[in-house]
Amino acid sequence: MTEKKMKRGFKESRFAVFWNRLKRNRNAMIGLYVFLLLVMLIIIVPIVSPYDYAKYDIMSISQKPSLKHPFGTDDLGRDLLTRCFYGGRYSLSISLAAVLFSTSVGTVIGAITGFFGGKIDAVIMRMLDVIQAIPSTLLTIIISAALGVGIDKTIIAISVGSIPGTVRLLRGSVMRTREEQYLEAAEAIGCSTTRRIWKYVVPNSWSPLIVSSTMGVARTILQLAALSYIGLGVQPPTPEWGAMLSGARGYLRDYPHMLIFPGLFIAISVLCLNMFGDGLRDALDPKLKD
Amino acid sequence: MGRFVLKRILQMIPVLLMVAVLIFTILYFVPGDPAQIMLGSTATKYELQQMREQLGLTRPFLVQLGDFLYQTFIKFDLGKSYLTGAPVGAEIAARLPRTLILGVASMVLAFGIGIPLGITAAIHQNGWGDRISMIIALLGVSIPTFWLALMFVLLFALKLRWFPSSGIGGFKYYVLPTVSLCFGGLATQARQSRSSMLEVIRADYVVTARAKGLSEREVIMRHALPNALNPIITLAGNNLAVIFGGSIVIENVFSFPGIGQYMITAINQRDYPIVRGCVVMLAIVFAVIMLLVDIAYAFNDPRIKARYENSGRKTKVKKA
Repeated sequence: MTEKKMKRGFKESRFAVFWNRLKRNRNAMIGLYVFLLLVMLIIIVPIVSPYDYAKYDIMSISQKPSLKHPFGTDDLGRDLLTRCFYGGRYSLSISLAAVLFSTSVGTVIGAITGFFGGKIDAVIMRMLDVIQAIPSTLLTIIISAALGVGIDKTIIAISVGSIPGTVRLLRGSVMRTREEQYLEAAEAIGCSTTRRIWKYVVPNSWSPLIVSSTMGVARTILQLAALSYIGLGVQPPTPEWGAMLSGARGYLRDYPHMLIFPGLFIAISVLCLNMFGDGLRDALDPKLKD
Repeated sequence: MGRFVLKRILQMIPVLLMVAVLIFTILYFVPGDPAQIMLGSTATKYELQQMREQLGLTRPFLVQLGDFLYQTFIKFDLGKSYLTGAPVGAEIAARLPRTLILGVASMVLAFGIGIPLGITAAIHQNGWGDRISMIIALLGVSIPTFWLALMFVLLFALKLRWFPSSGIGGFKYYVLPTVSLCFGGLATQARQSRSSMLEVIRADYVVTARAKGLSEREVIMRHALPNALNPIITLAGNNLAVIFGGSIVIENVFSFPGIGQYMITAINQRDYPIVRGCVVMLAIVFAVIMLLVDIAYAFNDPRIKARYENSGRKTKVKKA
């Protein structure tokens, strides 16, 4: 067996152990499959639906749920089922992009501050203290107000609040990895500092981030919805779930279906991600289970 | 203990100053001209320029920043609204108690129910009580707070007519906002308390306590609980931030005249002195609450207590 194959075999077996543990967790699997089903529907439904997500229909304004419109229609006669699924494209991709952004920024800062320690570490940690002294919802609201509306700006606004958490998590993990012998070995054979950080320290330190990012997507979906609801973030007529709720807030008394369905979509997607995230955590850290 | 509290208060001051600087800087770069907002679209260029000078907006950034810090922290003056000219400080003082009642009541409910619930769930792990409460907790962390609030309004205000749907008044007006605000925090707290307790319950010293024949009650109350409480208190700090942030959104759902609603209205009207004042005020309140959490933590952690008592003794020895 060549060295490369052996290395891969080792990695696969470690992943297999983890995957087997995850597969046995019924809740995690339900969460995963329902979420994947939801994603598939979000892709397919707007394509096959006979209604357009943006086209007004004056003849069918504010209809209650019926066979023709299973979720009813909104105040401009648009089919809510189509809009809910179409809106998922915005809600989920914006949340995912925000988590990717905050995780990558957090990883870079966390790796640097954890690896070098000393003055850099002290300065960065004090800066994080300041950011964390503001509740993250509040920070998100202010940044969003300062940047203005738009999808790209919303992504930045909702990711900033979660960067400090990522940095702290990775920093702690990096500080433990830094003491490992293979890093001494890497230094001894003359690896550059950059190479040591990106090739050895980060890959061996980022596993705590898996769970936190999965949960992070769930948390971000909630934050995005809240931000759009209060009139910042994504604006109607874009069918993002929070923006749909914001647009329908005046109809709670007369047409509650306009507010019930988008909210259910948020709750179901967040619930699935949380169930999967719980399973991931148990599979990665089995000492908490049984 | 006194030394610990003093040290934490002294640490709080630079952080709050930096928060004020950060907020000012973020809002400084906001698009939109305050002079235009105040004078409307009919104002001439000359009038606009005059107004900008009167407001001090033509001064360099650092001078404006210094002035803002001086006014806020030395003179306790939060400025005036661009639109109405009303002093921001008085307006905040009128609204702060309502926001505080809402926030503190939610915290009390979230911790008072969430922590015991999580601990009992952990003790009876995998029992039916554990399962049911964890399913409810999982739902609680997954449902958007403001949407839950809307559903509560739909059910309890519009259909059953038990509580008013918006505004402010007596006790009844606080029920729906408080309950919907506390739900997410309660669920998070229950989940976290359960896992902290589960971790402790398997520790060697708990096995020892059982082995030497202590009753189950004593094992839990004397050995497991005090050790599980520290991580629970730490995580409670995070939940405070979530509850606090959530109250801004909840206030808007219920048209509840607290600081959060005042701030969001001001953001939509681009009335930035109000926004700045609200954020600085909320940051101060939040810092004070976090300080209290830290003190509670220190009280429960003999290691922190000991460190400060020892260092106190050391200085005495040096002097002698």
